[in-house]
Amino acid sequence: MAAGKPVVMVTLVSSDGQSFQLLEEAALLSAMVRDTIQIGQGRGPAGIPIRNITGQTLSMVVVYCNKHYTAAAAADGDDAADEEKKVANKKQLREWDEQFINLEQDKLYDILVAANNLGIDGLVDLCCWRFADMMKGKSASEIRVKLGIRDDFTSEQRAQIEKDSPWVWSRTT
Amino acid sequence: MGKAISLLRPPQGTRESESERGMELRKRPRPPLVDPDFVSSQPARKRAKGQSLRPAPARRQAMRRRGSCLPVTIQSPVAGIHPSACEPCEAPLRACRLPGVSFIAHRRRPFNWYEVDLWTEVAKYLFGAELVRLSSTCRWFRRLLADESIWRYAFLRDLSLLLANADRYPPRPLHRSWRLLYTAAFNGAHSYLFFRSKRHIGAYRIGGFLLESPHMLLTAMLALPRWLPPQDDGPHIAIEMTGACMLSNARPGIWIADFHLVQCSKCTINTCSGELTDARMCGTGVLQVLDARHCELFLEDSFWNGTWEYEDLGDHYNNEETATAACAIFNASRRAQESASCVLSAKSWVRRCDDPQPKAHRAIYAVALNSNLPFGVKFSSDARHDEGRADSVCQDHTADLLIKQCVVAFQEEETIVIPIQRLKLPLLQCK
Repeated sequence: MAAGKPVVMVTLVSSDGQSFQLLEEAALLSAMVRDTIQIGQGRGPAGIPIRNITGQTLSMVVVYCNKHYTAAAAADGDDAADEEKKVANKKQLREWDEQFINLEQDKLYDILVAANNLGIDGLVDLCCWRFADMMKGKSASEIRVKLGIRDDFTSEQRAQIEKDSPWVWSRTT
Repeated sequence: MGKAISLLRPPQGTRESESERGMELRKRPRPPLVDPDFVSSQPARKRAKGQSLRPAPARRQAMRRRGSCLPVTIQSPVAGIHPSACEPCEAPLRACRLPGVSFIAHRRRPFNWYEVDLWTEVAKYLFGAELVRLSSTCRWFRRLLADESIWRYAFLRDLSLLLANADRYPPRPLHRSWRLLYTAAFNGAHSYLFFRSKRHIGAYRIGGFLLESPHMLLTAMLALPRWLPPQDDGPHIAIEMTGACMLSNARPGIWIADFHLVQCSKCTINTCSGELTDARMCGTGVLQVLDARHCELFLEDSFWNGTWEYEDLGDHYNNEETATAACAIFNASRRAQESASCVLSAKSWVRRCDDPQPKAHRAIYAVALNSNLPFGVKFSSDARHDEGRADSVCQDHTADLLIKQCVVAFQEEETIVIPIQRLKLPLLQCK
């Protein structure tokens, strides 16, 4: 944040009418907000209406944007910072991310959809990473339970699958 | 687009019997509303953006008008995977969907796990075994995860070959699928499964590197040889004299470098026990081997049935005492220069001289292994090139320590290139 630059706030309004104020620079993480502002809308007091995203989800997204904006601003602020410090900061941010995204499946899905709608690449990646993390180390039947999937393979198909990749099955047993 | 439509979908539409739906469709055949490929291939993000900015009223009306066909044609999350979504094949998917979801009652999006874009993104973070397990959960996942691009991404990622500029990748290998390549590279098989397997102690994956041209340079030191005998003399002489040789018939493509610990058959003082897994402990009679192979080698039948032929390239003995032993493989092409200098700048990656643990380093076109020898030892290097397939540059010491670094080069009629990078994912521990 360069000194002397006017502080511009942007208001995001969720589908259930809650409004969130955040710095414009932070909101610009979202491609959708960026586009809206570029065409000259959204700066007014009415804010930017975000359809399909509830206040609860949007609040999480706003937290994420603020955190990442401040982290990026801090990194820009001290250019002289040595490599080690930068790496440490990055690691810290990553840890914060992982803690932030450590959520229940439903919430995670809401945030993913919201991040996708708003065009926040970092958050989409983070959510996908978390989904993948939830899948890790689980057997096929555990994944099925987790995602509520029904096993619709025929026995021939199942045999074929096991034949295709014996290395996977031998290792898990 | 698919999302917008799913909201319009009648809540109970999905529960109808499939036969009825099929009948209805047959009665009123229509061309699909939207090209299914287009629906699926359009990135979700753009969809969302366009949607929230411009509601596209005209399109909505159009949907309403043709509402009866909508749920089947577009809503199918599988649209891109099998375009004929109007057919009964959609049935199992619907059965998979969470029961009782009403798309209209909730303001929020339907909780729909079957989202192609989502899972393609998630798949980027999954390793091969997890991909296989996920694809064995139901047919939808099996179809989705059979996509070659997912396996290609996983293959390059796990070999640390994902580069910013994609034009540097070698072309896709002929006649092979990326899934098979992934399996061959990561199913735990390694060059020692076939011979000397009892002596094999452990294997570690260093990573992948690229050969752009068929010229591969093998050296037993972290330096380029100042001089090499003419290639016509054959690699034997070059290795004997300089400890390095140039091969001009290596096979271009993606190569995989592994690091192996093997008990030495020549060692007379052999006090190592089989449990030795830590490279730090390798004192007596343990060979350290740098093994590189073309990623398609394990897909060759003749390799598995033992008819693959190998050629000895030569031996190089160093009778002076030395503190380190190293070996490296490069692609001898212009593009590889940066990689080569990165690998040869030993200071940047070699361990301190009091740390006897070996370390490997990989760049895009080169790979190297270095070991600090605790006792001033003599070493010999012996290179074996096996009829197109194996080169080994090996170094061994006095009876106390034997370091052998070997390259299995897979060479065919054409060319070679090598890239290298950092190591080391424990691949597997062999007993």
